This record gives sequence, C-alpha cells and structure tokens, in this order.
Amino acid sequence: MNDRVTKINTLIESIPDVKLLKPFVQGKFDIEGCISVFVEGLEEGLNFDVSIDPQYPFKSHDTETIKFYNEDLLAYRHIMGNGSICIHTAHSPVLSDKLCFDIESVKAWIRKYYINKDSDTHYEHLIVTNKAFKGNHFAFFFNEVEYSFSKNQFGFVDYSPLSNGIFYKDKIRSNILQVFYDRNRKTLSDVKWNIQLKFLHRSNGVFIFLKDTPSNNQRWAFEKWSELETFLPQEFLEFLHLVEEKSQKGKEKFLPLFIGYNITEAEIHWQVIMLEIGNFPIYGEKVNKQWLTMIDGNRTIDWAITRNCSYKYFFGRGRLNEQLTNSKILIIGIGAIGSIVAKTLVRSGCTKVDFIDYDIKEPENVCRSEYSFYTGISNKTNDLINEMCLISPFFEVAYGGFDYSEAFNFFLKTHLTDMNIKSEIEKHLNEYDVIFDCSADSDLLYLLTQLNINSTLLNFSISNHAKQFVCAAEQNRYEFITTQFNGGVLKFDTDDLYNPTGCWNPTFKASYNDINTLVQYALKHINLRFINDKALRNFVIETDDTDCLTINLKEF
Amino acid sequence: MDKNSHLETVIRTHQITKEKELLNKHIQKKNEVKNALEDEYGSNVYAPFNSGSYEKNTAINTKFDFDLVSPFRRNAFGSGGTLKEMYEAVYDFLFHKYKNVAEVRKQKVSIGLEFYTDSDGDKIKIDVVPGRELNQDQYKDDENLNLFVYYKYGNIDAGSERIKTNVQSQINNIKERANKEKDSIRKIIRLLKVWKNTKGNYPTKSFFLELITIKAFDKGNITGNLWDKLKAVLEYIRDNITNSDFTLKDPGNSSNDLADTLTDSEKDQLANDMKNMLDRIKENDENLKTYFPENPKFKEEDKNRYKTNGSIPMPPPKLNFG
Amino acid sequence: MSLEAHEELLNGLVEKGKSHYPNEFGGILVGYYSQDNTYLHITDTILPKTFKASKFSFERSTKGIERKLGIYYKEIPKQFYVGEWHTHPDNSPIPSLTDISALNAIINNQDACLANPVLLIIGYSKRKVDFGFYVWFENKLYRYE
Repeated sequence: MNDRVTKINTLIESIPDVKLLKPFVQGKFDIEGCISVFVEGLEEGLNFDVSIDPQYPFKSHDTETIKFYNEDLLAYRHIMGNGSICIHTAHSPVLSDKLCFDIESVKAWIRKYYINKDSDTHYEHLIVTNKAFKGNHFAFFFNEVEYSFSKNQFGFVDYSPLSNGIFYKDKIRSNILQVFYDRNRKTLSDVKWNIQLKFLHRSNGVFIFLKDTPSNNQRWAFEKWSELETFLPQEFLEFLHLVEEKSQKGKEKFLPLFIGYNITEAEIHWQVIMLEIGNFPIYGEKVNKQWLTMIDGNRTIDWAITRNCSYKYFFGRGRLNEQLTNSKILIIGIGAIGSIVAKTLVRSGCTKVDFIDYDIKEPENVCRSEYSFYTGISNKTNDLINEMCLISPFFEVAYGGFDYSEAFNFFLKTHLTDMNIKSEIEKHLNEYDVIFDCSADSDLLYLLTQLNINSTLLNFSISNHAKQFVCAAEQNRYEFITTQFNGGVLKFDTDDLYNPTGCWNPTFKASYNDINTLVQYALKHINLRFINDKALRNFVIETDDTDCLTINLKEF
Repeated sequence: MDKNSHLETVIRTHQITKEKELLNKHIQKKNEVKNALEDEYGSNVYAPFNSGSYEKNTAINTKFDFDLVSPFRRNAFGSGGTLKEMYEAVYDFLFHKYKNVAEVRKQKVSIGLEFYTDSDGDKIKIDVVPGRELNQDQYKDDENLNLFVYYKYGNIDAGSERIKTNVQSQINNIKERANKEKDSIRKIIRLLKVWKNTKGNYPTKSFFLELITIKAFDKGNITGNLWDKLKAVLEYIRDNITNSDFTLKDPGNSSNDLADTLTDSEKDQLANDMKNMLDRIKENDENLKTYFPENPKFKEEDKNRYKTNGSIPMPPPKLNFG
Repeated sequence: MSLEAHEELLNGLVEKGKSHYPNEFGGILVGYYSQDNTYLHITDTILPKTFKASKFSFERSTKGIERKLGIYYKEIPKQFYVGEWHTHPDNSPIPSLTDISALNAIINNQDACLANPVLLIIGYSKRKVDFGFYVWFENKLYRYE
C-alpha cells in the first residue's frame, strides 16, 4: 500500500462524523473506497463510493478530482447522471485540508438538498447527454417569440446554419431558429434576429410544443423513444411520417425536431432531437384494419444542444444602464473612437445604433479600431455594420450605409441656410435619443451647435498621444472644445504626429490600448450619470504617466 | 488673461441695448398678447404686466425672459372656480388663438408661447403667468395673487394652489437692488444668467439666481473687483444651497421659500456645478471663457479696420470649403 | 474697409480653378494692409501641394506653404496670409455654411492671427464667371460691394 493511500485512510478516519466503510485501495488510475457521512437530522449516515483521481487535491479543468457516488440519490438536486454529487469546494494544495473541505461540502449538500430538499431559485435545465450525431455535434439557438403555443401544437420551423466549429475533439454546427409555421406552412411567428442573420440560407425542421417537460424527474431528459411515447399524439406521428416521405427527395440528410415545454408559466424552453431522414424511429402497423404510426421505443434519442439566446440571457451577465440600452443612438464618425464606442454599446446591450462616416477603412486602420483585416478595403459604415452583426443578434441598423452618410454630409454642410431643410435635419436628428459625435470635425461641431436638437449630444475627441480625452455634453460645446484644444488649456505634444505614407493628412499617435482605456473610462462615467439620473456635464479626462499611470476625470 | 476685463466684455456684449430690434419685437409681441387677454377677459382681468428680467433691469440680450402676469379677478372663472380652471381656461384661449403661429406649452406656473422663427431668423418667446386675486376686488389694495402649479416645481407638487405672491413687489425689490448696486448685484446677476444660458434648459429659474445673489451680498462681506465678487457669490451658492436650513424668502410673500422650487437633487447639481466651475477656473483662467462666453454676435473689434494679432499670420493646417 | 486685386491675378485663379472642373479648387491669398489698416491689397496666391476635392467640397493642406510665406514676408511691404479662395463650379459665389465655419476656424486659430480673413469665391459655369469677395467682421460675413 502506497503512502498516499495510507495517508487518505488515516485522514478519513480522523474526520468527525465520517466512517470508513471500505478502506481506500489503489485502483488502475484512481484510489477508491467507501465511506459514510453523518450530519444532524439523519437517522444514520449516507454511504458514498469515493474515487480520488491522481491529480487530487488539484482540479482537472474545472471539475473536482474527488467524486462521491450514491445512485440511490438520483432523484435529488445537484446529482450527476452517474450518481455523483455536485460539490464546489475551496482550493487547497494541501491534501489533508482539501479532504476536510470536500467532506464539509458533502455535508452541506446533504443538509441543503437531502434533508431540506431545497430547490434553487434559478431554473436548472434538463441534463441532456451530448453525443455526436452522424459525426457532428449540433447546436440550435432560439429567441423568445410573441406567440402562445397550445399543448401538442406542432408544425414546421425554418432554421439557418451559422457556422462550423470544433467542439472538444468533434465538429459542431451551430444554427439559429428562424420561423415557426403551422402544419400548413402558414407563419405562426418569426424569430427576431439581426438583419444579416435573417438573410442566412434556410433549412427545414419540425416542432411540437409538449408543454410538459420530457423528463421523469425534471432532471434528465428522456433517453429512449419509449419514454416519449405517451407525450406524442398519433396525429403528430402521422405528420412526422408524411414529413419524412417528403424529405426523402431533398438534399438534407437529417431533420431537427424542436420539442418545446414550459420552464416557468411564461417561459418556454426548446430542446432539439436529431432525426435521420429515412430512418425516423417510427413505423406503420395495421391495428384493427387501420394503419397506425408507432414509435420504435428501443431507439435512443439523439439530443442536440440548445441555447436560449433571448435578450435577457444574451446580455444577462452585464449591460449598460437601461436608459442607454433602450436609446436610439447615432454615432457620427467611426474611426478609432467611434468604432470603439459602437462596439462597446452594441456588446453592452444597445440595439438601435446608426452610423455616419464617409471614410474608407484601410488595413492601417485596423490596429486601433474595431475593424478586422479580413474584410479588406471597405466603407467604414458598411464594414462596421458587419462587425456589429457578428457580435449581437439584436443589433438593428435603420440608417448607416454609405449613401446615408453622403446625404447627411451634403445636407448638413451645404443646405443649412435653407430653413425648411434645416428643420428637416433637426427633426431627423431629434429622433435619436443619444448622438455621439466622434468625428473630431470642427465644421460639424459648429454646425451642430446651430441646430435645435433635443437629443443628448456628446462630442468625443482625444489629444495627441491620448494625453487627454474631451467630452462636450452641454450647450456651450463649441466654446468648450475650442478653449480646451486651441485656447491652450490642454497641454499635449503637437509636433510628434503620424504621417501615413502617401497621405498628406497627419493623424494623432496613440495605440488601441491608449485610446480604448480613455473611451471606456468616459463611457463608464456617462453610464454612471445615467444610473444616478444626473445631468451630464462637459468633462476632460487627463492622464499622467510620469510614474504610475493616473487617470483623472474633471467635470466642468 | 485678465479675468475682470473678460467679464466686463461679457457683460458689454450681452447688453440688451445691442439688440434693440429684437427687444422691440419682444415688447411688441408682449403688447399684442396683453391686448388679446384684455379683449377676451374684459373687466375680469386687471392690466397684465411684464415681470421678466427686462422689467427688473437684469436682462441679457441672448434671452429676454418676458413674463406676462395676468391678474384675474376672484370671480373671473365663476365664484366657485378653481385655480386649475383658471389655468386651463387661459391655456385653451391662448392655444386656440396662437396655435398656428406659435408653439403653445403648459409650463410650471405659466403658459409658454414660442412664436415660430420669423423671416429674420428670430424666435420670440413670451410666458403668460395667470394669477388670481385672493378676494374679489382685493388686488387693488394688496396686489396679491394666487398662482397655479401645473407641473411639479421643485418640491412643490403639481396641482398645488399654495403659491400666493405679490409679483409687483418681487419686481420692485430686485429692480431696486439691481439699480442701486449696478456694479455688483446687477453685474453678477447678468453674469449668472449668461452662465445659465450655456447650460440650455437649467432647472434653476432666473428669479432664483437673482434672489440668491442678493442674499449672498446681504450675508457676506463681498468686495473687491468683479471677479472677486463673482467668485464670492459662486462660493456662497456652493456652500449654502444644500444646507437643510437654507431658505430664500420670496419678496412678494415672506412665507414662500424659493428654495422649495428646487428638488434636493437639483440643489446638489447646482452646488456641484458651482464647485466644478470654481475648481476649473482656479486650475486655468482660460476656462472662465467656457463658463462666461462673450456674445459672439457682438464681439468687440476695431471699427472698419483689418486686424492681425501680432506675429506672422499663418494659415491653419487643414480647412474645408464647400 | 476696401480691397484691391489685380485682374491678372484673378484671371489666373479662374484658369487654375477651371482646370480642376468639375471639382472645387482653391488656395490661400497673400497680400498686405495699408498703413491705417483700412485697405487690403491682394498680391498673389499660394496653391496647395496636396488637397482633397469633389464637386461640393475642397480641403487643402498647408504642406510647404509656411516656407513660401516666409519669402513673401521679407518683401517690402511685408506680404502675408490674408485669406482663402476657392471655386464653386456650376454655382454662384455664395458661401456655404462649411465656408463660414472655415472662416471661424481661421479666427479661432491662434497661429492664424487674422481677425478679418478674406474669402474669395469664384462661381463659374461655361458661360460666366462671378467673383464673391467676403470679409469676416464683427462676427458677420460681409460681401464687398
């Protein structure tokens, strides 16, 4: 017997309320034994088979390397399919300490889920075994729809493949759900996604809304078709049969079946079963002179992966204040600052964001903005719309193409003397709740001050070397910015500019890191003002890098 | 930079006499509205009068503040008529009369008439403040009026009928102090109005700024040059406005507290704005220009002479033409 | 306030401008003021080496201009930067708001040192040429009669 095994046996015996039922021995890989754990409230201790991996006391990836099994506990919460309980314990590199922590976690589990039968406040999804289907994993993303399904309602769906990836060692295909149709292909509800996702090539699937969970104990999804049998009405099986016959002619080799059920009164979850065309788990049988569609109960259910990608889950881990995320936003000028603002807003839950810029994205812009090399030379507006569509399925762009930018510039700069056009422009701009002017265009700044705009108007600009960041948020924006930059208030290097080869127009020097640090600082400040419902004031963010970097925000 | 001479220039370029024509337009419009009210209400209304800053000698030429107070008789809207009925009736009348030529808006205690931009590009704005005497025929003796609060006004709730005041003595009080202390109170009030204008729609009313300036002069020993005085007033506001026992008595009714016209968070904002302004100007004199800009329309230049500012003129590096 | 420019110079500007049709074109104006600063004599132009132009816009750089201005400044009387000129192809010599804003930029630029920059706009079409001389004065744009 090796030292490690002896040590474990001695330690276990020394822990109060724990009995060693079968001493630990070295298995092929693991050290295995059996213990009983007692906590107050139990008549007698609960027994667990214990296995300890060689990595113990360290974790392997994200899982504990000690397992406590008892298959009799399967009906309780936080039990894995193999009967091991889920524990999350503190870290310790010292085996004896770690073992004590782990036993404490087992006790905590017994108290919480075995004795008190606690159910957590948040919903836990069914556990679905992810297996590759015909060599591929499949994932389907859905969004909430404004439609109330009735029990056993079924029909068709459209879905679109997004892209192919690698899932551990296998291939995976991710897809989005696009439309629900009834069985006569009349649209029931369209699933909302951004415009580019909606334009993706579509394939067919079917759905049935069960209402009830396809599971015995609300924990594991059914494994065999026989378990689903009572859930699926004959009418639906006949529908499946017809669909399979029709699908034989198509190119697709499989068909996803979306199974819907309520996880709360108001919320529906969808799981997907992969069906192989030509090999559905159904067959016909003549009963009392009538053909019935029967289920081949012995077949295993091939579950795919599904994810609810509705807004509240997609942005669940963190987003900006509602006043911003609900706003209709216009960003004028999408160079370094503007594109970072755009990406930050869209990633943080804003959905209605339009762009104006008539500049072209060049490879040399990529290093300090949110553009990708891959898309090559392109109008900045068009390129950024693409980037945003890749990030957020909820990004909506009303205006933002190149034509819009051209028209805007033309009207603003040549027709402002015309009162009618001026009021049209004002009307148009007032439809935006927030306008970010990141163009650093003094003409535009001047012209905007001539307009009667009720929207929150924020002008962002940055000095050379990203020494200062200036945000004008008030009526006196023109005087403010002019005084700061040209009135000698801000001190920054005006000579060391970057001269791009073959271009006469020098630009400021600063990296993505320099710029982004200040843009994020500014946006955080603005967001905070919205959270606290306080008025926005002009401000300057000053950096000092003589020793450690200090960033100082001065409000005016 | 000489802060005093800049502030003096700011005041000069904001002199109301520089905008004679625009002022006349306002006066003319005000008289039109006054006549319309008198025609409509006949003997039910006493002579409407202007209580705006022009009347108090504290006006600046970028915002005229014409407030037309309409003193109604107690029974003008029926013997049991409420102040709300008075407010609504006056609004209905003005709306129907001016809806085609102006934006007619319900405001805190007044009804705003914003006439559409005229051919010169000017916008005339007149606020009508309906008020009612306390008892039938009493106005002649005491000039007291009850006002109706349409929108929540600071800590005063919407629908409140508790503003009782004497607008005439409000005007006289401020006018007297502004005239007597031309170089201090009047100048500071005008500067504060210039500052308020840079903020767009600021919750603090001009009347509030006028009273708090006077109070600052009464409370503290404010001396020195114009900047010293301005600085002292800004500091007074910064240090006092958020104190829980701070009050600002209405000269038209000593039981009204103007401090109630701002909510706590609006007071915090005002104190904070004063603090920021003082800090920024202390850091760099140039920032004074941001808070107190000259009226660009009347920037002072030598008459009919070309002017360069010293060294060799150099074209700015990048310019756009269209 | 008055202003004078030789016909020869103006014809030269028109020729230069027309050669860029249909795009706008322009440059800076060089000249000097009379002793009492009431009279401006425009003597020459410096054309930009680099610029961006379209039918409705013109953006010039100042590359190399500084050196050239240095030469003019040594002459007697001292000649210096007094304003800007540009064309409006197929259009009238009326300043756009962009133009006004450009003048604003000159006034607010500390290096420019000009309180009353002059703006010359040459509106031209196939059949005619119109000159519009403007000066910024007391925060307003005035056209020379």
